[in-house]
Amino acid sequence: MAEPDLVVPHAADTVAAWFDRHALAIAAYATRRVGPTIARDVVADTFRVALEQFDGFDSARGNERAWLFGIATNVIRRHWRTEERRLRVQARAVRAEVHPVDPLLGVDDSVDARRAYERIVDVVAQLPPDDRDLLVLVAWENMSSSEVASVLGIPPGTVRSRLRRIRTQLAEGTTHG
Amino acid sequence: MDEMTMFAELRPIESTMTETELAGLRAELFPSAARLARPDEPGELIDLAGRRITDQRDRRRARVAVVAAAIAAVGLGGVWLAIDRDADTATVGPAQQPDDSSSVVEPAPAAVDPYELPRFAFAEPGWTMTYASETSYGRGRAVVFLSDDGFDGPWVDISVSPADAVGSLPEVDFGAISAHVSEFADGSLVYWTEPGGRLLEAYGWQVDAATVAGLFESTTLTDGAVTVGNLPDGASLANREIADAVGRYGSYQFTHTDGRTLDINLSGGGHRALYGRVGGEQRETLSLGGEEWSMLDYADQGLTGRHRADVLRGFWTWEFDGEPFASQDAFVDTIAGIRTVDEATWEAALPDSVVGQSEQADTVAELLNGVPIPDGFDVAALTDGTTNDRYQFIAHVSGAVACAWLEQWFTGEQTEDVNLQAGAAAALATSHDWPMLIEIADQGGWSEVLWQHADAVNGGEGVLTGAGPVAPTRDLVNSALGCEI
Repeated sequence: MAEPDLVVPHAADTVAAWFDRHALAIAAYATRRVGPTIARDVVADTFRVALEQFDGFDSARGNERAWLFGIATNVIRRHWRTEERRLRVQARAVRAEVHPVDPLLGVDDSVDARRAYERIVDVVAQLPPDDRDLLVLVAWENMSSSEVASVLGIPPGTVRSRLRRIRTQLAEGTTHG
Repeated sequence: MDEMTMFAELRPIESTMTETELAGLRAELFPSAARLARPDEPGELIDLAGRRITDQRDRRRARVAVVAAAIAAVGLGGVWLAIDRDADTATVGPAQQPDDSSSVVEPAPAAVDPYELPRFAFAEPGWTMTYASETSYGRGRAVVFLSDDGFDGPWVDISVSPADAVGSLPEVDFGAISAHVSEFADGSLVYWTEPGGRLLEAYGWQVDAATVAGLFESTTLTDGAVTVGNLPDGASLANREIADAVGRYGSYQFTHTDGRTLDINLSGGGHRALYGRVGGEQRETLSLGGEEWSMLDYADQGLTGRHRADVLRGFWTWEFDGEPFASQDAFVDTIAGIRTVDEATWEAALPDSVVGQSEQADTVAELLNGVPIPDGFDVAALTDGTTNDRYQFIAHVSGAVACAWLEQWFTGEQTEDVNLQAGAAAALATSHDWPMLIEIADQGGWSEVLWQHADAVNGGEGVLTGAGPVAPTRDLVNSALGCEI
């Protein structure tokens, strides 16, 4: 094994600097997925893990932001039921915003609109954790395939093929029932 | 509105932690660590003695960890491990002197071959490539143009699909065939099982499912290649080079000496690829040098300084995503200065960690030294003209060899040829000693995944999945290792 040419005496300083730069983004991401109350714990746990595993960070494999998002994503998985409940609430809320009560809109049309969003949530709730993470990173965080690949530690090609499958499942879920 | 857009609408807009709350949390986690002078300028680190860490070597030391045996698992089996890296990397310099006027931007000149991944260089000095991956998937696909407009008009892309892609999509009877269908605003996805039992996927860009299904009536799959026998009036079949380009993808990361990062991704397929990147998002459009750029400012998501731009240039969609930039104008200035260059200029600027076209043959020979190869394996095909960092290139080479042995193993299983299976299993068992896999074992998850497959065909418990260890299948190895068998 090659001798290391670098020693980092102030890991806490580095991770603290990463906190200054990325904590707000991590907090926003966590809030979107599990709400503001749990988000604080997610941020705290993310940077605690980052500090503990600092020696394992390799900048050649991706930037620190992707690494931190990957840790946060893993932490968020502990709260997947909370996330599912929030998704269902959001489905009902979006229905009300996007399709406000319109006296000219037939009852059947508004019911169909609500059901479409609820079916999407049903599909997302049943996705494996890996796929739900990927979907959220793409659809809510606007990450590219390569960035998602860095966050999740999978090849970009796998991101694209899984996303294709997820799109199909979403389409299938809204044409049934 | 497609389902992805509907899900995107469910994105919450709740307030997140305040600055005060974050400051309080920071104080708990890092009671003695100094603060960044200006968090939006990553180069401005201050150590505990109050000194600014501005020297580039110090900045790298602050970011690159010590060589260690600890492995931190992140996400889906991804493995991060710090290794010793040569800190001296070449800088991607400008292919030509930058214009002195930043107010006039010329569109990048087209690549010599419009279906090869473009090669490019920055006009702005200081950028270094830190990652490169060029992949190609869906070999043997067929591309049918339904008009004289090529990729600018309606077209259909038919390729072999994983068996589980269908899910429970509704099956539609089209008379001559039945197929599973998903239709959306800009086209359709149609899945059909050909007589040999393989699932084919057809993506009809601006084509309805019935028209796509009509093509399937004369579609055959022979030795992994899709062929469409009867074409509608006015339709034409793209040649192999153009069809293969549809599955080509380039992904690169660059870092500037001042800490800015820029991802550049290239996707082929004309408007379909741009749709895949931008979709139904509401974006600002910037007209620049005769091009239409789709802009995204991440400040709305709390990511101040991060910007993204997508632009269609002929066959290729270019995606630029970088941070932190002082403004959108600063971001545009950087990416507008990126010019296409020839292969020689591109290769000359590659860092030592990246394998370019001219180095591929020698690198393949080095990597395959002592590695068992199946009879008939096409070593020359590994030299495919792509640019990849060494990790990705090793994954490409080792994956191709492993996929060939796995195909032999599955064939032996299906034909009950015990000797054929045993030979493949024995060859794969040696993968634990392949120097290339040992070299990258601590850099990512690739070696571990390949070894799981090698062990699985040698009496092991199976390949690890979310559902636990499972016996390998063709679809599983295609998904996990990128095989196309």
